[in-house]
Amino acid sequence: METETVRQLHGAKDLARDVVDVAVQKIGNVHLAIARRPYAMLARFPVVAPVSKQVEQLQTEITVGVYGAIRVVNRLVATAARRQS
Amino acid sequence: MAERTESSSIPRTQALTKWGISLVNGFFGDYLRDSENGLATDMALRHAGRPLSITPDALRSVHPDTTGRLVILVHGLGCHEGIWQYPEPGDPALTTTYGEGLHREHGYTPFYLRYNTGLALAENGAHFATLLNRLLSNYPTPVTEIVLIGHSMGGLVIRSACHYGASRQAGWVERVRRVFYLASPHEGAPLAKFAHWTTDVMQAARNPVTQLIGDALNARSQGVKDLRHGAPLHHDGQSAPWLGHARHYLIVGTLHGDTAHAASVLFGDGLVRQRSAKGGSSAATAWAGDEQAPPAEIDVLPGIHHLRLAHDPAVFHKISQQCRQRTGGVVDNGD
Repeated sequence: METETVRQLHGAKDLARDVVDVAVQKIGNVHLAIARRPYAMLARFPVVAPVSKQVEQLQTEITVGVYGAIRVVNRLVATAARRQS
Repeated sequence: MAERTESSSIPRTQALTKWGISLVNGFFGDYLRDSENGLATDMALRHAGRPLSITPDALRSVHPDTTGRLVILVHGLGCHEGIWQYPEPGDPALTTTYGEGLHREHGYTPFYLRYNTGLALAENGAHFATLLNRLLSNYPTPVTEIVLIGHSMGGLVIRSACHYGASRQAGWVERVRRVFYLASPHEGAPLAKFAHWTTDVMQAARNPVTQLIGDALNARSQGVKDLRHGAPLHHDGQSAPWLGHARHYLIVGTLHGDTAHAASVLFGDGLVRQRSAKGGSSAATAWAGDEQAPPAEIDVLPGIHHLRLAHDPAVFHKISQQCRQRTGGVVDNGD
């Protein structure tokens, strides 16, 4: 295979990795921003505020964890693909 | 000699990949370059799809019958040198280009540029000016005349390169006799302006989803963003001037066969409006009754859309006709 073609194949893999990485990060941020809205409303009511705060923290940790895991797996797959080619 | 390629011999997937890479470069080229991605296109003259080394031997090997008259074709946004190919009128099984036609009819030696259209216009202009310096110092025959043909963004890159070349007093600049701008958006392109406006609105909205869409739109390349203004701005804040001693030909297309039709007036050739392709206000100011202004000619070709202007026998006929003439002044053949 020609050098230019090999370089472009690697480039396509790198670009796919970058697109997935940025997309997951951005979508994760939108997810968190939308989820923050009902908790902000609940925080105005002293009766439910302490509980909703704890639920929000738990949900945020899970969300960040899930999106972070997707990004890690994406990078691992990209690295493995680069080694194989 | 320009290549003659049997279009059926190019595998379809290979051709699609080539176009895909050019499109990705057009819209994300600056990111690809900055992240050292292998898809980033390096500026180079191309022959038969491969980069051409600018050495006397390499130049002689691809053009054994080199002449002192050069024609260099510069493609537009998201394209590559394949945009210039069209079926040979006498033999549709073969393809030809404006470069090959000018070689055949007027003895010009053709060169085709490929570059990363996602980079800033001024940056590509500066690179192109440097490349022309190298080409002239390695060219096996003394160069007497250079003709530059730019399609769409390519015309703006040429304007920028001429500006850089002139400011550095490069030897090639004085040899540029004619510059053809095929649907070049000298005063910007409506789609680029719309994308800029939409991005601003989306990002200003206090909604995470619209902000996400705004961020995605804002990821477009600097090359695309520059098309909002048209003629490239340089460090001095001025748009690249028209090369003083060269003759400028502005070829304009329209969507409809009637240039006064609403579609032609509103959308021009589909991507560039007629006023912008005719040079906009900078050209009007430069050419309105100013005897010092560079000579220019404007041709409107009704019914030829934006992309087709790069590969249409009628456009070649105009170019070939102009390469035969030697006159001054402004002639507007359009409506």
